[in-house]
Amino acid sequence: MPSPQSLDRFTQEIDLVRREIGKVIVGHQEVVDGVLIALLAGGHVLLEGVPGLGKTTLLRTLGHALQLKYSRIQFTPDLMPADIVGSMVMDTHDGGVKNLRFQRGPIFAHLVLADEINRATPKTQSALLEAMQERTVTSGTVTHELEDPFLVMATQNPLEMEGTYPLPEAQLDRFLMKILVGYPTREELDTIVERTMAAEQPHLEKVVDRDQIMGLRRASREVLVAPHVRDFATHLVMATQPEQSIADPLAKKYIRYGSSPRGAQSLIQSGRVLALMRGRWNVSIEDLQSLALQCLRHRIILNFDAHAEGKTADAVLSEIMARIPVTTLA
Amino acid sequence: MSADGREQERLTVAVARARRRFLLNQILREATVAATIALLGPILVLVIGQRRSTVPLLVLFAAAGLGVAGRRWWQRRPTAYQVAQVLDARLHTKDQVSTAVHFLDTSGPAALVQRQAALAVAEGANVEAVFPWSAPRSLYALGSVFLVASTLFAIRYFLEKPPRMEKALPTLLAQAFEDEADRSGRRKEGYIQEARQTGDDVGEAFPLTNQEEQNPNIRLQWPDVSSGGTREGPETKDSKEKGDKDSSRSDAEGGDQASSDPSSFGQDQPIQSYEDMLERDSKNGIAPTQAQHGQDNPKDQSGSSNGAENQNSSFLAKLKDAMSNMLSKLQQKSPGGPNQQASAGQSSQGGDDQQGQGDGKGTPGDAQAGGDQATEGEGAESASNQAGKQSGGNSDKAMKGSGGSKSMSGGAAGSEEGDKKTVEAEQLEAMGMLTDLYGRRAANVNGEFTVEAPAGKQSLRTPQTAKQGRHGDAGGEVNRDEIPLAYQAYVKEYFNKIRQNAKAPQPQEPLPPPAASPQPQQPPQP
Repeated sequence: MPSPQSLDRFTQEIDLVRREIGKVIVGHQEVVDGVLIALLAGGHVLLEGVPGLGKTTLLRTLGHALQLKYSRIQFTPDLMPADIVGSMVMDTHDGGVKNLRFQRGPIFAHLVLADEINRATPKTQSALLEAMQERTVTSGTVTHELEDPFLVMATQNPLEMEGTYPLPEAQLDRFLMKILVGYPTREELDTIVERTMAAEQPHLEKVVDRDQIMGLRRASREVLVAPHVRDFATHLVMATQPEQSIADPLAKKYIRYGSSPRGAQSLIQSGRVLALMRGRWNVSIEDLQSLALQCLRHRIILNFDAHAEGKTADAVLSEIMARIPVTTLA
Repeated sequence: MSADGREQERLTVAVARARRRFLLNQILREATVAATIALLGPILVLVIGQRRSTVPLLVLFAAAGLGVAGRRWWQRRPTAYQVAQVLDARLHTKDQVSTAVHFLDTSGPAALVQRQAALAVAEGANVEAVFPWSAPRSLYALGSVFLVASTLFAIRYFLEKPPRMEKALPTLLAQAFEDEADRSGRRKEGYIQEARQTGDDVGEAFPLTNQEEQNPNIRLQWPDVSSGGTREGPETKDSKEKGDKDSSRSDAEGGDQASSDPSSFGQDQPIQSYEDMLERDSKNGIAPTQAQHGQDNPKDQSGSSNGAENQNSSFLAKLKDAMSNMLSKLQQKSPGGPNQQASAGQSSQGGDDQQGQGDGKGTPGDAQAGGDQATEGEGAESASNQAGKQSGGNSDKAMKGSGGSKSMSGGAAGSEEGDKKTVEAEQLEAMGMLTDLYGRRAANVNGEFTVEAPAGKQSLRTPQTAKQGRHGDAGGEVNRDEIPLAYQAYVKEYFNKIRQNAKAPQPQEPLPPPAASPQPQQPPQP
């Protein structure tokens, strides 16, 4: 039940999780917030960054702090779908009775880290599709439901692209956000080194349980979205589609395929959670603007001109977003 | 009333306060639009003049302005929700007020909590600061229209004082120009008649053709013809005989001013064109219209009708006169150029006369010098006699006396007949004309020409231009679909390398000088 007190409570809970993660992860507040938003909005997140930036550590820490089941899948070229979703194994009982039993794979967890997802074959990658979208796993004729909350956090290494299988657009679209993990600053790096030299590792406490997370999810769905804010999201998404009449000229020049409607959905869902995290019961256009790059950068495909001219999806999106009016008043 | 109802009412009042302020700003903007449209009526009246339909026309424009402005205001009248959006955008209140206004009738728990937060923001907002009085952009349009109206009124006031608004402005302007053209024509005719009467030497030297007699303006349109060098030969020929005659005639015709001033017409220099006449008038301090009336119609000099015309002469006429004076001065003062060549050509046509009659001062090569000396010849008979003696004795001396002229050989009639210098001078003058003609034709004529060159080793040197080629000039185009998915990263990396190479500073090599570059040798042309 939303109330001023409940809003304060929700904000405090999220702050607790942030603080707990901050014990291990130095800096990267945008990455931490993005992962939390994806978790509370019921989406999945794709992290892209060079090795050694703490992507795996972040998810493991999140699992500890949230008292959620955590599993990690290291994607390799020889990884098979059954290695992810599980397989049927034969059990022999006393008396020689044998029967087939479904042995659950690592996908049956609340937080799944798909490490270096672009190293697995498309066949294995597609095994994640059903789990990510439908939140079910089908083995033979039996469909198994995945328990909420379910968050897939995939990582991609932009280096060493040889022998990799870049994620197809259909699979990329299923991620709520794509977050770029950058290098830490000087101060952050000093803190990281200092913590590495420490004798004891930080002790993580379980600050939020699963029920609280589900309560936060429900509360985020109560956050109000005014029509002009909704219009901003739809206008932004349609402006990236070059074939639309309201498409931005920059989209017609540099974008081959614009964002899908999932982009607008993810913008609104993420905006609701962000508004809640910021202590408001309404989504503002500033919320959408701060989330637009994370929610849309992997949903647009640039054309050859953009690649040749060195344009990135972020640059094109930023320019398009700056031209969208924030009020409906002429 | 419940607490929720009171919050709703307070929020509505707070937003309505902001909306009133916004609407007042909008009314101000639309009022300027209405005033702009209404001002078009007076502008129209100023243009077409006062008619029977003037008042209805003014009323119509005023009503149209009010109607348009009212319609625009009504259509652009913002709702409370839109005003709340502007409020949020200007106060950076994260769309709290607008969301609360939109969900004003919603009674959900989230809406209630959100409304409380929005109420605190809306009631604390300074509406005057959020919606300050601002000058609308339509004010510029109003200012422009007002400027046009003022200009039109000023033109009318200038044309008729006080403006009676009876005639249309184009009619008034046309009348003013016609009057001015008539006055100008009368002045020209007066000058020409005066020139014919006073300077019969001009008439003898330049007999008017039939066409020119019918239309004197034809002759007046050629200032080059009237250069001093072409006329001073014949002018100086009769200077002995007419020096006294001209002075006495000018005294008789030019009135007191001409007789009292030694530099007046008939004594200073001959009247050769309309511009000369204007210049003479300006030198004498006489306005052209005054000069016309003083010389053409001496009886009417103090008359009433022409005096009124002089008073009504427009600024355009004065400007035109000043421009013609300035142009004629420039033409006379310029020592060389096309005028000189043209005058040289004419003087060469009348070469025999010059040789026989000239007194060593009519130098076709120097119009200014010739003019000055012709003046001397006209002014005093003794001066011309003296010049004749000098030229008869030594032609070189005569040349020096004529201001350093090179081509003209002075001398009395018969003394230097057949002199080679004269023939050369004529040929040179003719060549000058030919050069001028070729120059004019070459500006428009295209074609081929052959250059004769002596046989031998020749080389054509052309300056080398430094030009850089770019990768994109080839016009290649590759679509993304043509690149397999696996190779896209390589393509991207390739372009990154290209860009990095382009950004890296490259050592600059000095370009070879254009003349030093080796050029292919061309065979000599026949």
